[in-house]
Amino acid sequence: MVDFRKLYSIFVDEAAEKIAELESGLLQLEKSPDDKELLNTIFRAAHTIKGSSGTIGLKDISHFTHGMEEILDLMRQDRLTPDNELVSVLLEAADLIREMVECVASEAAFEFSRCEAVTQRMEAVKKHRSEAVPAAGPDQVKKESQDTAADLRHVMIKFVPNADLFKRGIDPAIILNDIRGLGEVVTIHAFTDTVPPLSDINPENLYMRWDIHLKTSKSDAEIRKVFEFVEEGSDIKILPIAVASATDLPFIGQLLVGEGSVKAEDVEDALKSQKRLGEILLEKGKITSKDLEKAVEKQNQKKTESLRNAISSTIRVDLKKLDHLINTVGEMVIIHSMFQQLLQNGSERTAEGIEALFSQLQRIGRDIQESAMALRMLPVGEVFHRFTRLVRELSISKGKNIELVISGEDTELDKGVLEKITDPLVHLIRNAIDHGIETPDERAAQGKPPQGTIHLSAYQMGDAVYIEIEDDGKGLSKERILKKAQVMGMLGNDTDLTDEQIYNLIFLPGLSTADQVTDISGRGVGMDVVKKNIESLNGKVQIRSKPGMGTTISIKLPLTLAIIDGLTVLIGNEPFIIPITMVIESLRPEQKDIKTLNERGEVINIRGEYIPLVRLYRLLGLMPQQENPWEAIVIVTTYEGRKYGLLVDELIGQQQIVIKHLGTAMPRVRDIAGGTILGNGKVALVLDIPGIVELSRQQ
Amino acid sequence: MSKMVLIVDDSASMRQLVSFALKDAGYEVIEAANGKDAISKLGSAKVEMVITDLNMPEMDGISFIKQLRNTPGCKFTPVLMLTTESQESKKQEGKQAGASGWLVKPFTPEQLVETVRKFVK
Amino acid sequence: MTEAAAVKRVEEQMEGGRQYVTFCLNEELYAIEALVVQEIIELGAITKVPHLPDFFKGVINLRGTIIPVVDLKMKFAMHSGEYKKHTCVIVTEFSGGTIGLIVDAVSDVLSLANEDISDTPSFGAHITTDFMKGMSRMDGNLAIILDIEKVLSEADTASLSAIRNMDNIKAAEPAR
Repeated sequence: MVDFRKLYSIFVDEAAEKIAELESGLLQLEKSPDDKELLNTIFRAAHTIKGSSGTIGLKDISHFTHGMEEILDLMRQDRLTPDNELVSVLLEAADLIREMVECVASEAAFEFSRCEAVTQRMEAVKKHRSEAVPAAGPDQVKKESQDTAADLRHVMIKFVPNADLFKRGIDPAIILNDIRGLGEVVTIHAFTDTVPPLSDINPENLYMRWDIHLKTSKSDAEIRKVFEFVEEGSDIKILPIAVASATDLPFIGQLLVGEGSVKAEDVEDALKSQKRLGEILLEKGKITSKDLEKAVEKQNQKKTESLRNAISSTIRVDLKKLDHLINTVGEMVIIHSMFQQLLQNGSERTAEGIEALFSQLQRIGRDIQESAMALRMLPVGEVFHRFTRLVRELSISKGKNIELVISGEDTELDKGVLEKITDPLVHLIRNAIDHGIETPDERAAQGKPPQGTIHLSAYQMGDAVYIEIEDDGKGLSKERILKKAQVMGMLGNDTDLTDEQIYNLIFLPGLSTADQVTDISGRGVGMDVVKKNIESLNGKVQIRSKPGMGTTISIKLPLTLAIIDGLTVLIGNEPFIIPITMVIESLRPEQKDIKTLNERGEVINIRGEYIPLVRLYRLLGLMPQQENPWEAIVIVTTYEGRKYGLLVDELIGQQQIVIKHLGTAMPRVRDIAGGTILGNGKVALVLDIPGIVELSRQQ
Repeated sequence: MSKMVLIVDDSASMRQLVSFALKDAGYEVIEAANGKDAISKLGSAKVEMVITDLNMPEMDGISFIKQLRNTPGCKFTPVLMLTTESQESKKQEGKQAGASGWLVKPFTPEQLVETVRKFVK
Repeated sequence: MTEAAAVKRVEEQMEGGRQYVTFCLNEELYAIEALVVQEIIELGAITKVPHLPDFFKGVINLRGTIIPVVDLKMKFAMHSGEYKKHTCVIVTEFSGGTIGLIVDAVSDVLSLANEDISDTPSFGAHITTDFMKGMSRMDGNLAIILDIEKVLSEADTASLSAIRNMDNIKAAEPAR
């Protein structure tokens, strides 16, 4: 005989809770009979009692509760009105269930004949009252009940399953089926664009992805529950959609169906057969490769628009960084308990022990700070490699042959910066494909290799990260830019511009070099927005171009929130940080090495080389500890190939620091790159050496 | 014909409880006391789904799942692990071995049936 | 008062009534909308930032974030002496970002209906009427309600033009 007791106790606890919900819900319902959400709660409570009692073999309880559930369901459908009489019957029923459950708990027998009177009354209510409502067709009733049941909303579920789903014994068809149980599935679109060429197909892998448009009253969490076991490694997004814009992207299947090249059933069919072979439509002979190509092309155009969304929503963190952080935190916990122990068993050696522990704690604190900051720094490769596909697909659709070469993918950027730079990069790469690189024929005619190249590179130099997009296309046309700018009235009569100034005109709003706005790059957003986005990151963008040779766009991004090695110095009594990458050497000059030259101002002789001396205290408006350079320290730095000597009062030391922005409300000051927080909690400013040098030159 | 589920657990009462709940929901159930036992039973019946405990003598759940995945005809069979909350690492291990899902002990029969239905209709 | 009028008044308070934080600048009472106030903190160490107008006192560390602070008294060209024990920083959010306002003391948070606020007089106060939203009587004292958006955007533009001019200025003289 099966031992139910363990199950019973679980059921009893759960049922008691549900009965309480049922009871308080019914009492409230009397006051607010129109509260649909309340009604749903009551219904769910009854439904749970029915379900769980049935599962563990308490059929009588299940049966009785079923009668109650039916009435509640009719109420949800507005076919019964919860008046006093109805509520009292239901409350009586709830009382009976409570007694039944108590009997289960105490292993006593319940006299189920006692239920009859209430059951009859419930039956009577169901029969008479619900008939009073004009009978509607079953379909219609169902639809109504859905629409009124709760707030029905439309969501787009984007489901990109992990390729190894089959290998874990999970059938996506069941998941899709479960979604049908959540509400009304308006559309399911299967994407085959992720299916590799036949030769690369592993029949045990799942290559498809789905977009499901669902009309439901369920919460995101409830929807997500369907994906419980597939969540890991899969990409599942639940996006609310406005009904009017229910059509998302034109999907391959949809496009093909729309063009009459394939029947909807065939798309579904392909979806089903995926499990066995990962088949593609093409292979079934339902469409020609041309049809497919056409559809792919159309889809590509749309897809690039959604590329940035995919990038910005998630970014991965290297597990090693995370593990390191967690390990360090673990160490800290150990030290905390050691501290406690030490303090409890105090002895004459306590002070010594505390000191040792404290220095360990200090080390760990620094370590944690560093690793936490490092979490925000991500390699640009994450974003760069996503462009490979963009370039491939866009160039095919434009009839061009373009290779994307990536370098410097290990260069790290702050997550926030990386996210915001993605959008401008998409536009710049599109521009290079669309306007920059010529068709293979055009290239051949000019003696260039038919395959064009876009070189996307990143590197760190000084306290900035540079990202460059270089193409070997036709370059910008100065004449065309000038003509456009004149036509649009942006120039006036001033045509005396340098090449660089002319190229930079393309950052003006509304100026596009292509005579015709194309599908790919010319829609809406232009170079002016690109420039604005980059500048909002405190970055700079520059264009270099050579006719017939290509165009290079160089983006300079500051290392906001970056960790740098800094040299702490005192100017007057204020500490300042100089990025160590800018420092060549530091020295105390001799009096005879300081000279004042008429044309160059103060200079300092370092091993026969005269370099300009910049008195930082003067530039920053501070009172120095001493004015004589031979009593102070000179830090030698280099900018644009020339050396400069920066005069400071004292060297404090070298340490890693986190550069922070001074806040958006702070006006930008040219010689300050940012701030950092010192051990004592005070802010120290980080000097911007290029800014300082430029300012000093103007003096 | 009803679908066949194999429950693998060294605790006889646990097997019986799972078995009862599933039979009540219309499944057929066969039982095995450990991984070795289970592998031998897999050959003799068409099993649509496997539910397995992780801590078992003879062959534990993880090794069992690994072996199952290499058994002809069982490559795509859904496997549900029964775990306790404290075994998060075990859960990961199981998933890597090829488990389809998990159920945290203690669970109600309703939860069990609901979960099984996710894999076998 | 008729019942209808009473209801109307309550509604006005619900809709039009707003919370204000009041503070002192040299014994004068000022108020800003509580909505823009993020928190009020003690005045800690300030790091001076070069080239900015005097009222831009510098930057402070707000739990790991660096924010600029402005001395409101200097901004309004009032006498600003040493900072004392009660001197505190009202951290506010405005369209330009987060900024700290140095004030003598924060006195109260209270609710004012729109009708409690009268128009700005064109005389008397230390500050230009552009910065004011109005005036209100609070516990017998007259409080000037500041339009923080105007005060700060003005602060911003002033300093920005200072920066622009900076390119042309000669070496600044030592501040002390």
